[in-house]
Amino acid sequence: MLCAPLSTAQGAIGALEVINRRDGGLFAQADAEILRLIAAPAALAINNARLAQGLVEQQRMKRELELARKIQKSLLPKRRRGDFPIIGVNLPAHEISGDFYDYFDLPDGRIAFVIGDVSGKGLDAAFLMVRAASLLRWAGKGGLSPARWLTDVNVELCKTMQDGRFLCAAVGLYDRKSGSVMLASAGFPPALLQDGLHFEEFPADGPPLGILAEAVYEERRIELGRNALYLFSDGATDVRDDARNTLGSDGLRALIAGHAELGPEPRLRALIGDLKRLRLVDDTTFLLLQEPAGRAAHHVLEMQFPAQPGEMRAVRAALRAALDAQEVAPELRDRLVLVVDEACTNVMRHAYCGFCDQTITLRLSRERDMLAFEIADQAPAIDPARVRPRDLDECRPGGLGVAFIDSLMDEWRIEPGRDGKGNVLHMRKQLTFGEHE
Amino acid sequence: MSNMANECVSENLGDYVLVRLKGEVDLSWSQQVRKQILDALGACGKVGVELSQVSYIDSSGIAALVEGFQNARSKGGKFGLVAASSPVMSVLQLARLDKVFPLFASIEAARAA
Repeated sequence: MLCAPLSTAQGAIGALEVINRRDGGLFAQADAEILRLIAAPAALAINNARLAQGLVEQQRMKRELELARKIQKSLLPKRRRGDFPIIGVNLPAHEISGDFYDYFDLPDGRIAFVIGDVSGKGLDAAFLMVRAASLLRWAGKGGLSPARWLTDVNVELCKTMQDGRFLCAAVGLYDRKSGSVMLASAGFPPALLQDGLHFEEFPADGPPLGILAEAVYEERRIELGRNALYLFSDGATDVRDDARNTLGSDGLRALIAGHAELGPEPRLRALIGDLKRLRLVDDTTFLLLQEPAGRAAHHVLEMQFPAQPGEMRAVRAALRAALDAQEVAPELRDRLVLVVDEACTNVMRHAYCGFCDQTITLRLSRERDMLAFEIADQAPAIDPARVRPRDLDECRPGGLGVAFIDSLMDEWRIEPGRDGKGNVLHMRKQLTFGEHE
Repeated sequence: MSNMANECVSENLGDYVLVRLKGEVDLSWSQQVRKQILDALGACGKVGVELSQVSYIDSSGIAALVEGFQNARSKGGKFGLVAASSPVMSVLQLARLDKVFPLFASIEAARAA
């Protein structure tokens, strides 16, 4: 019998044995030499084959993780361009993430949003994230109050949660018209409201989801106005500096404050840049709620003209052009022109009583989709209580103007002018796009 | 259509007077429109107001039409609107008067009524 080791750089991986010469004789020294010569390349070949197989396996795993990552990414909502008040960012520390965020429109115009962080890492956390994300979206579609929304999802998650896993999440509803946010948080890091350099924190309203089926969640109202509301997973504050110190909530605030002068999107981008220069140790996810910059009220039209009926044709033409520039649908445009005309001629007839050496000032401004009209005169103060719409169901000439104003505008009122002189009629109309008649 | 000159012309068609309105009917001349309609009703029991070339009408213009309608009714005469343009229809609807006035697509239909 002959034996030679199959040696590799990492040590022997086996042995090559030759037994029982066919002629029954003994193996010679020369046979042993030959065997040793064969063993060396054989070991190399076997080793290479094994490595190649391992590599194939590894690549298959990598492909599958990549696929899992893609599926996870596809669950995150698409970035919305233009006039949308929510931006989300998810930075996974590894291929797959336990963090997620979501936002969607409710039929009543409010925007629902979700941010979540599954405990633990790896595949099982990723699977739980997928389940939690779809559950939260499904439950939120119905427009439940945030507290109720969390309560329902918690009960459902508690039925199937295993191995001490849980989910930290915050959910909310944002009403752009009123500028207020209803928010409820289940063990999620405190929400941060930023007003320039001033910050306010809103802690969680109940325990994480999936632990206690009887858990009760509260909700709170936050007046967002022009301010910024940040929701972030704990990865954002667990960022380490070179000395391995964590950033913490104060550090994060300082970073945000450092970019206070930027608009929402560039500010979030700058913040992410800061965090990446430090060391991310965990998945990090941000949701930023803020009305886009430059969307504050802006003047669309301002004109002053003699209080004479003959002026109105030119005023109507100017207003028509201004409303066209605001992309107001033709039908609504014509009605708004009519209502402004009625308001101006009412001023001429009733406030100035036909004396036409005075002027009228028309101002039109826009804040998001809200048009605000102002018609100011210098006439003696009128009694607003006497300006009432008439019943449209009676057929008689006259008095239609106020009825037109009342039926078309969302809101109108007459106030004394600035420094007590004259009267100002304020009218507001909300534009609804995507409902073209 | 918005650059059209304002015009109000009465046309005598025998047993029928047609008042043709053109342009933007607003407070600056609606009194003139009102007078012309009432004059026509004084001269004839059947009056129509042709509105196909009216690009704008305000409540004072509508009031002139309402007054004509009421005047005709009180005397047992007839009063109708002929070929109302869409800006006019839109304001009539807003004032809920589209069901009040007799509306005719053409002069022939108005005269036959």
